[in-house]
Amino acid sequence: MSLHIDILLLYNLIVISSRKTPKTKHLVRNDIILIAVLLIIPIVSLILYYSGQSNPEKDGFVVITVKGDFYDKLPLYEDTVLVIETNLGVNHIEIRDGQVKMTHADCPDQLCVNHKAISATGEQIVCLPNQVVVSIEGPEGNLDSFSE
Amino acid sequence: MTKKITIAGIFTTLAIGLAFMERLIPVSFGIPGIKLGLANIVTVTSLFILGPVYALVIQVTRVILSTMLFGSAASLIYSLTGGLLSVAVMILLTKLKKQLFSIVAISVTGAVFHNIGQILAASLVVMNLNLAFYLPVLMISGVITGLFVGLVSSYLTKALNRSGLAD
Repeated sequence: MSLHIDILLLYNLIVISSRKTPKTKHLVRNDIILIAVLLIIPIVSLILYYSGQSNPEKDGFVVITVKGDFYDKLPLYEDTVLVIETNLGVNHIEIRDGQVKMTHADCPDQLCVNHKAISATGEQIVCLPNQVVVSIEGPEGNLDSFSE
Repeated sequence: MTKKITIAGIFTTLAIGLAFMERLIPVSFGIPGIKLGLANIVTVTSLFILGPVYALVIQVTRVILSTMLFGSAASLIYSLTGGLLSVAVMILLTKLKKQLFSIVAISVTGAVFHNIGQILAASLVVMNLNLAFYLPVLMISGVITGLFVGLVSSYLTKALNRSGLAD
């Protein structure tokens, strides 16, 4: 009798404990395939992008567009400070030692000012509220295959 | 029905709370758009606990409310496009053959498409398709944050299902 209860108790314990540990895993095989694809696409495009990239330090250009329209084009190797004034706002850009930095903007979020300095072809600083895009182009004047 | 609406209300409040918490954590990688996306925990969980319709309503409500509270009017376009694309893709994935993907993978895809949607909206606003330059970096960051959000949501969904709250 007592043994019978013990076995019953043991059985219940096993059932309860097996119920408490969830059998479903967090990741299934399909998940890993999907996540791998989502990782491989950007990594491959980054590798393709950076392998086909020339260092434009001496011959690159800084191109500024406002509202999608061409605003100005400056050589990357000449240190200057540019003030962009439009009806949307004011942005200050500094070119120094082949690097471009947004030093001032009157936009509310200041994302462009906090953006790191850019120096490689295709890199950009964008100020969305003022619709200003600062990008670096190679000597040929067109961006590389990545953006085509 | 009433119970579901109540839970939806609690979830929306939670999402706004999480969005506020996220603002307290200063994360800057020098590239705009990379963030944890804590509020997505609520979106993913609500999709599995309450269903697609509630998930969509919660997503739209929380994006509009948290943008009004913490963001600027200009950023509403990007947040809303990203949020809608993200939830739409996640709903599509749950509608696929039963249990093809688990919560974590769906969350990762949602996070990646959230970033794609934001880039798309931003490109349209500044009329400059070269913004796609940001896309690979944002996709990778989306996978990482999506994994984190997905794991949290996975645990949360299991706990909520066991508690019987979702019935």
